[in-house]
Amino acid sequence: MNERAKRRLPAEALTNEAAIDNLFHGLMDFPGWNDARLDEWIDMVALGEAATPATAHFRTLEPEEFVLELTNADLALTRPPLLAHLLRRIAKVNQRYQERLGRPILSLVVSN
Amino acid sequence: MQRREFIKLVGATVAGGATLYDWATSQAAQEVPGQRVYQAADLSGWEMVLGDGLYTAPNQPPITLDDISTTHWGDRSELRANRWQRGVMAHNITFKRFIDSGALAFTHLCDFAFRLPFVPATNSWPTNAQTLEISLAIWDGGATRLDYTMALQWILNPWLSSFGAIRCWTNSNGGAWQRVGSLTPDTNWHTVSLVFNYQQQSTAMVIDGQSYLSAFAGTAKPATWGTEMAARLGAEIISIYPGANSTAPYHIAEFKNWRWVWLPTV
Repeated sequence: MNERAKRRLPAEALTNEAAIDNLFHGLMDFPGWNDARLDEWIDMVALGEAATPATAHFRTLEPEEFVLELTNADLALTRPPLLAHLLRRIAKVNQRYQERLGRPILSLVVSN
Repeated sequence: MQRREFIKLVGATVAGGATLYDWATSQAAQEVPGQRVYQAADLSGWEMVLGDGLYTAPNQPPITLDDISTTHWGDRSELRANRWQRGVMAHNITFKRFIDSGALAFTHLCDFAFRLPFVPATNSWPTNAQTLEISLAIWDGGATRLDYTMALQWILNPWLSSFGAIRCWTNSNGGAWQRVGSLTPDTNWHTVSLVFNYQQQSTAMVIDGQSYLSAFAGTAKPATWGTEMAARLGAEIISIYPGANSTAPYHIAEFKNWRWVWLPTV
């Protein structure tokens, strides 16, 4: 029932670090969501689980979570440095979310 | 309440929900003795207040009634929230209220049609949305001091992973929304029927002819609430979370053809 939102990361696009950054930026279509405006993005998606009086109206039993699907995994595995860069970007977002909400927000799945 | 217990409870409600819905619509069609029917094309005469789904970005003046509006066009009513496109999230509750000490003795059947005149998207401007909600509640101010409620929430913020989700309000964790399905945001008219029975503490919810899980909830309210018994049917919209922006899109939704049938409970 809880269909998690999925964003696709085609391995073909992992050509250099700048391309990964651009691809990663575009995943949520929220300007600067994984960098300059990360806290603002977190505040928005966490409305339902930040049990403060200001947001009590939005409390939900199923907090937001996003799945990133890395497609053509075999190709990605031939590009270890770029794969590592992608993982660092994901880890950075999750670390900040963990600090604020006590859990990660992004999951990574791989497929061919 | 644990999730497993909630599912069990809701499952029981839904198992009876289809029956309850069928019974209520059948009774309403027969115009049984003692039945009351209130209905109209638009929401003229309904009250409008600010809800609790509010947020103000830094340096923004507080949200007031001037940030929301409800306009009646005869064939429909139009709700707006954050109508001046400020850096706020505003919550418009437009509701019909009856003060009636016998309200809990009836089974309540409510119908609505609702529509978005735009499709929320991450590039949508000047309109966008956080939620659309519909609720039926009976405040028992003289005895239990609980607000007995059934409510649905349609998630319309396009940045959320839950975009398009339909949720119902539950008692879990002191009051929380539970996902019960989805409805793709579009500009079509949709219909919803709510059935609420206090004596069986059961509910039913049907959207576009399809049954959804729903729950019977009892929520404590502030001591300032009165001692009357008040039944309310509400149409609600919440404008999109503005973040730190000094401007944000407004939200607009249309409602029409409401009907509220009070059925004597056997």
